[in-house]
Amino acid sequence: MNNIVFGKYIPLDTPIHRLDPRAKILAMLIALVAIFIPAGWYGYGIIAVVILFVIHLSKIKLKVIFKAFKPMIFMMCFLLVINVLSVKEGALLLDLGFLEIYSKAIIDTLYIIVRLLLMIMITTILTMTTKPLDLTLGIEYLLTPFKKIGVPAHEIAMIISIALRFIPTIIEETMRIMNSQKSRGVDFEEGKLKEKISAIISLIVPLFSVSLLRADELANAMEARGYVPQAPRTRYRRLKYERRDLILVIGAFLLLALMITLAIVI
Amino acid sequence: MKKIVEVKDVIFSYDNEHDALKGVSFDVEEGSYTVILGHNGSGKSTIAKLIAGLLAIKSGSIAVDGKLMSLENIAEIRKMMGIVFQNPDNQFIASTVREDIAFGLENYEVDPLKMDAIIEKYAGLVNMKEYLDKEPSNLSGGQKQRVAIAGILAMRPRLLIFDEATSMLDPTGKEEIKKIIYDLHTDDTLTILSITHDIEEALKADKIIVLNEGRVYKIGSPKEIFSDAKGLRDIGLDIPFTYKVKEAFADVGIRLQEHNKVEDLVEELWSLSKN
Repeated sequence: MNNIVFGKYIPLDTPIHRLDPRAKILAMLIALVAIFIPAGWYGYGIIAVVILFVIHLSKIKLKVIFKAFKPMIFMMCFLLVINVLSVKEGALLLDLGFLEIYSKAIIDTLYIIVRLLLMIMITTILTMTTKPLDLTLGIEYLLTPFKKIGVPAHEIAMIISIALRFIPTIIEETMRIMNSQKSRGVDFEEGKLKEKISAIISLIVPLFSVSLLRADELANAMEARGYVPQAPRTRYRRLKYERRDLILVIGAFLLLALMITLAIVI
Repeated sequence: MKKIVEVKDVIFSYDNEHDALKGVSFDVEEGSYTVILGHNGSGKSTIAKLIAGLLAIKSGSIAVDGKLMSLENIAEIRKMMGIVFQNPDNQFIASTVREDIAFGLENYEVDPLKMDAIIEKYAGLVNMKEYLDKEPSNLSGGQKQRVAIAGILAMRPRLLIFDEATSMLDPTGKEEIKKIIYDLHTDDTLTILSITHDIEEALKADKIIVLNEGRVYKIGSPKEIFSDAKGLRDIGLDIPFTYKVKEAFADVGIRLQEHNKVEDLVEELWSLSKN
């Protein structure tokens, strides 16, 4: 549980932390598109180098970012199994009689895994270097043009902000419930599948109940402090674009252009 | 004295079957420090939420500053009050102290250029000025509760409701918040309504309203309320330390006066011992 790093803001004073959240969100979206361009291993190598450079500038320890990978291990194994079972192209690497493993299955899985890891790294950098409230502001500003077609920009931004603000609280709550259930003899690590499911239910039910109670109390606190979703509000923090923000967005576009070029050339 | 809150024959039910409040009536005078005392389930937190307009009454009426509360004027009425809830974690909305205090100001469309001065003023009032850029995870329960108070004070309310604001805090946190409440009481323009089961806190109030099973059991000054030790014990409440000492001395035939302060009690005991 303590390994969950997604959504945790790390307060530091670095060039990445100082960037405008709108620029960071835009750059992240462009980089995510770039990851999906089939630019081959060279392309992914370039993106990885760029990400590592950004991590270096943000002064966030690499091992902290790597912690975000842990919850994805199961998904990666699942992808490997699916690909091994379904992809039957390329050179035969291993023949077990009942199962044949082809090179394309492994390469395809590696492609997906690398894409996933790069995506996690980018989104983790964004949440680690941007205050939840700034993230909210950034999302709200970027969604403002879509208000005309009925997109509830402010509400979406507020939901995201509260979700991010409460991630550490919910993690703490989960740990507390887990410890309390462990003290009553519930074993979360060992046992058969049926026992594990029963253990997880004993965790999820109180967690949902507590979370709903929290949500109710938070809504009351917000309402009592004059919050009305549709009502006009002023903003304490106002965003201001600077030259470095423009450089970031241009840099992200250049990366995308490079990936497209590589994809065409390769 | 002008009444800032008038609660008349209020009936409220959470499930439409069992009434949590069964015809509650009381007034809160402007500038006073009023305490609503009661055991768990007596309906004291419900009444706080009804006054804040967070729940709707089944029958009866609630008037704040002479205005009868309704769906139409609830937003306007809320602007003159603030409420500090029990759980400090569930009322910390933003990611830093500074931004959390600003939350209410933003809702009331305060000019952003004026916000820094307001934030610093009220953070200073609750001794949280040096924590302005801290996140909630770096603060103790008492500190989070102080932030909640600063956030509400910044909105310049005339009525401040504390809904069991000290019940989830450690002894240090409890004392910090109680001291802030007592200090705020020196401001005559601010009415304090504290919902609590802390009898020692109630001793400092101007008026106590005792609730029992959804009904008003008694209304009076601390002296009038705590003189009825038997009645309070019958409804699951206790009496403060100074009253317990008086009771113990009475059992051995020594009559003491009623004191709200331990210092006054010690003084009387000291003069008794000299005689």
